[in-house]
Amino acid sequence: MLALPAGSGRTAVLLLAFGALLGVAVFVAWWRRLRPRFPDDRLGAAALAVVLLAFCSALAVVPYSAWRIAEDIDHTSSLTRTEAETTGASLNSLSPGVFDELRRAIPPGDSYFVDVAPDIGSPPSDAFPEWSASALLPRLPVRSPERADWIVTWGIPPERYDVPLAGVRVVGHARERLPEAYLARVAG
Amino acid sequence: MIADALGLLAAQACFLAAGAGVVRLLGRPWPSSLADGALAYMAGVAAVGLLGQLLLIAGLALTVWQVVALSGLLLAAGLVSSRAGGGSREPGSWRPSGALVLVAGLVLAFLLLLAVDFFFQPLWKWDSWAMWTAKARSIVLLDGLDAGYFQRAALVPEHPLLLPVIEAIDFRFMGLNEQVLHVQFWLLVAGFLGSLVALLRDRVPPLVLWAAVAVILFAPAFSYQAATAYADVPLAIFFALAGVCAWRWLALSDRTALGLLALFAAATCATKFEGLVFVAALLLVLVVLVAASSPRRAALTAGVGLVALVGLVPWRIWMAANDVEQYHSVTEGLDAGTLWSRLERIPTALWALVREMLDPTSWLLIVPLAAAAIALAYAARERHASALALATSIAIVVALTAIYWLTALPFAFHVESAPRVVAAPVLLLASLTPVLVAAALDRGRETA
Repeated sequence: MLALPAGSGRTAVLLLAFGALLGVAVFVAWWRRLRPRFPDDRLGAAALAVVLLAFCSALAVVPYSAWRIAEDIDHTSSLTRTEAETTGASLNSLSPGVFDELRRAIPPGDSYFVDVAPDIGSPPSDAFPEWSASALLPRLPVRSPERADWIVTWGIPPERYDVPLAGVRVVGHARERLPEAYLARVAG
Repeated sequence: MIADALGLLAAQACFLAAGAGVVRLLGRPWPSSLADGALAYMAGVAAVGLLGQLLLIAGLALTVWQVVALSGLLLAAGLVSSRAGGGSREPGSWRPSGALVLVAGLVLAFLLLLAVDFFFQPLWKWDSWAMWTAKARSIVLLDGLDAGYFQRAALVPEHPLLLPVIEAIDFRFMGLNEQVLHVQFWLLVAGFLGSLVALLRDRVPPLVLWAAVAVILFAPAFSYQAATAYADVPLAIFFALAGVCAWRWLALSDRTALGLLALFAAATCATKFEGLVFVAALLLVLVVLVAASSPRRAALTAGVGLVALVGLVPWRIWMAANDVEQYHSVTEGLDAGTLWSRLERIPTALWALVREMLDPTSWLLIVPLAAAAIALAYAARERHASALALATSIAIVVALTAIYWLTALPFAFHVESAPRVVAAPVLLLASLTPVLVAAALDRGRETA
């Protein structure tokens, strides 16, 4: 659940207090009603207490949980389809537009080599190749630039690799205020 | 979104049809209630997930028509089955008291709220978009299993494929809608709760059963973890169903339950590699308990262990044949000195697991009250369920502690994953608690 509100705050406390009162009230009412079914029987009464305690303790959190879920729905239902599809990238500080550009440029079925400059910190540096691996399907990554049809880098000019290139271009900033992302076609 | 949801529901209809055939084949009557339908649905997800993985390994692409044909074959197998509903049973007394109506109504209202939440949920957790759903996307976009993807792009490629197979089938029917995909997880939650009612209603009073269903549903970690679209909740659900079927086989000699146990155990092993540890613990305990009364039944139970590997072993063979390397191995780099130097991990790991199981902000009072129910059932001379629940849970915690001790992966990584890993033993305890409580209530009535 993407946007569950934090556990504190006045609303949370009020709902938890209300839930606790509800749980206690239901426990007392049902105990009084059901306990007489087990006259002179401590085992049955203890089992009944376990059932009621389990249910009433769960009931106590329902108002609070329902409120949190409603808040989550309020947020997620307002997301556009594009925003929803790129949530994983956005949460890891990647610009989804870069991957749109890469999808437009690299034909389906082609292979690519992906690399990220070491000075770009985690998590975006880890997220960049992982998000590429899913978002660029059915294009597949390879482990060396020599075997690739394309080179995709973030913060590393593709000319640094010892492979002939047919063209290099900037595809945007994978993250604001960080170096550019590049796309290069491997020659031949 | 609505059109995509209808596509997803068409995929679910295939699972339900397949499951109806499977449960009939195993000796249960055709589903005639919502709860029976839920059990058939869960059996269908498990069967199609397992067979779908085998079809992928055989080179098929799980297209819409292949899924329809597979589901149709399983349904037809049930239609021609000569087993005349050996597992048929009359539901227990279903006089709807006010309390029961309140509990069931609350469960249904909460499920409805969750359905809306899951419908709009994006993939936001790392392993969901980078691993589980990414593998499903690869199956659809690369038209089947692609060795290159699993060699170079898949995160933790060694996890078996049941969940990506189910998601890939959903994508085939509706397109690549990763929001509506979460409805699949909601259906697994609802199907699991309904299955518990179907499997226990002849042995557990309705109010006790529905109270247990409510407690599981309202546990904050259950719905949250299901919404992450990780494999942990599907794994825990299949495992808990296997546990309930194990109890039915142990206590009631229910042969239909033995078949369902094999199916859900296989689905557990095919969902995530931890599943193998959980199923091994469950079956080991079950074999020991069954052997006390009947060596022949113990041999049948041990046979379930072989069936449980039906999804996992072909997958490992495919990985080896295609040079797909494991992300990590438990036994990697092990020697006596390393193990000795890591001894301090054992108490930390044990505490992390127990703490997560007892955390009321995640699992409410499920585990402490299950412990109380075990004690009460033992006092009521109900030894089957109490021994099964207690011994399996202890075996799982010990096995996980051993893995955390042995693993070459960073210890902190394992400790951080403890909240998700404990979902399986917690759901097992929660699912067997109504059986334990019912035994104590029955004994109480007898002695009163």
